[in-house]
Amino acid sequence: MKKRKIALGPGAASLILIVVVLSMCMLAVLTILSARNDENLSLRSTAMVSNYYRMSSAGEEKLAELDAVLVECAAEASDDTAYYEAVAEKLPEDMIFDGETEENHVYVTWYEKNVSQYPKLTELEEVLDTCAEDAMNEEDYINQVTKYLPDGMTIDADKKTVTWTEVVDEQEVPCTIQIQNYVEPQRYLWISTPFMVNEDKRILECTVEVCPLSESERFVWKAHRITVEEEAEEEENWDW
Amino acid sequence: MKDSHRANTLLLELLIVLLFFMLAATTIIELFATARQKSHTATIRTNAIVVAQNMADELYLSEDPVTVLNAYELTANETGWAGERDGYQINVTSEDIAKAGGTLRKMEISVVADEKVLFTLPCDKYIAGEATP
Repeated sequence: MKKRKIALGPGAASLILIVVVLSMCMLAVLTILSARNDENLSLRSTAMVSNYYRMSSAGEEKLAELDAVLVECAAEASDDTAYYEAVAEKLPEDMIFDGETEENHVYVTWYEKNVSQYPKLTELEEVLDTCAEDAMNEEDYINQVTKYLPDGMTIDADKKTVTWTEVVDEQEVPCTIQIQNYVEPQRYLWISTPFMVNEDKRILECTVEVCPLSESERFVWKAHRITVEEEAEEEENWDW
Repeated sequence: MKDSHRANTLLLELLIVLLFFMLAATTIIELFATARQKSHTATIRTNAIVVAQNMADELYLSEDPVTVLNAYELTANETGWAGERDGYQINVTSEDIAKAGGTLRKMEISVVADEKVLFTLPCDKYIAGEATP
C-alpha cells in the first residue's frame, strides 16, 4: 500500500494564520461598523422623538400660562370685546394674538423650539454670537470671548480653543471646540466628538381658539403640529 | 537528521502561530463582544422608544392615567410606576401641579437598561378647569 505523504512545510501554517486572522479582522470591523451604525440610528431616532415630546410639554406649560390669563381676563371683563382686548393686552410673551379673522374668531398662536440638552454649549454659542457682533477685529473678538466666557470653561487664546465638561445622560463628557474667525457664520468647529444636535430646525406650532365668555370652555385646540421655521413664518393666514 | 530539524522547525512555527492566533482571537473576540453590546443596546433603545412613545400618547389622551399604566403592566411604587420589559425597565413619574386655570399633569417616562438611563420622555398635559360663564 502506498503511503500518502502530507506536505505541510515551514511557512504554510503562517500563511494560513495570516489569512484566518485577516478574515476575522475584516469580519470584526464589519460587525463593529454595523453595530455602531445601529447605535447611531437608534440614538438619532430617540433624540427626534424626545425633542418632540419636550416641545409638546413646553407647549402645555405655555397653555397653562395662557389659561391663567384667560381666567383673569374673564373675571374682569363685562363683554366679549372687553374680554378679547384684555387677553390681547395681557398675553404672555412669545404668543401671537390674532383677532382679525372674518368669522370673528380669536386665535392665539405660539411656537415651541427645541430646548438644548447641552446648556453649557448653548450658553457658549450665545456668547460667541454676541461677541462676534460687537467685535472690531479678531483679537478683540477673542478678548471679548475670554471676558464673557461662561463659568467652568477654559480658553486657550493662542490656539483659540475652549474646553469644558458637559453632563450628558448623567455622564461627564469632556468637550473642546475651536473658535472660528469672527466674520465666519460658523462660529466654531468641534475638536472633541461633537454632540448629536437637532439640526432639522423643527418647531411645534400651537394654536388655540379663545372661546367667547358665554361658552363653557375657555379655549379649543386648533393646531398642534410640527413645522419648520420658514414655513411657520410664511403661513400667516389660516383657513380653518 | 534533516527530517528531525524540519519537524522541530514546524513544531516551533506551529507553536508561534498558535500563540499569535490566540492573541489575535482575544482581541477580535473583545471587538465582537463590544459590537454585540452596542447592537443589543440599540435594539433595546429602538424597541423601548416605540413602547414609550405609544405610552406617552395614550397617557396624554387618557383621562385616567392609572388605567393606561395598568394596561402596560406597570406597578405602583414609592416614586411612581415601574415595570420590566424585554431587557429594560420602564419608570413613570407623575405630579399634578395646580395652576390658576386648571391642573398641569407632569408625567415622565424613563427607560433604564443595565442601570443606565437610555432616554426620558416628558408627557405633560394641561387640564383646564371649568369655565364659569
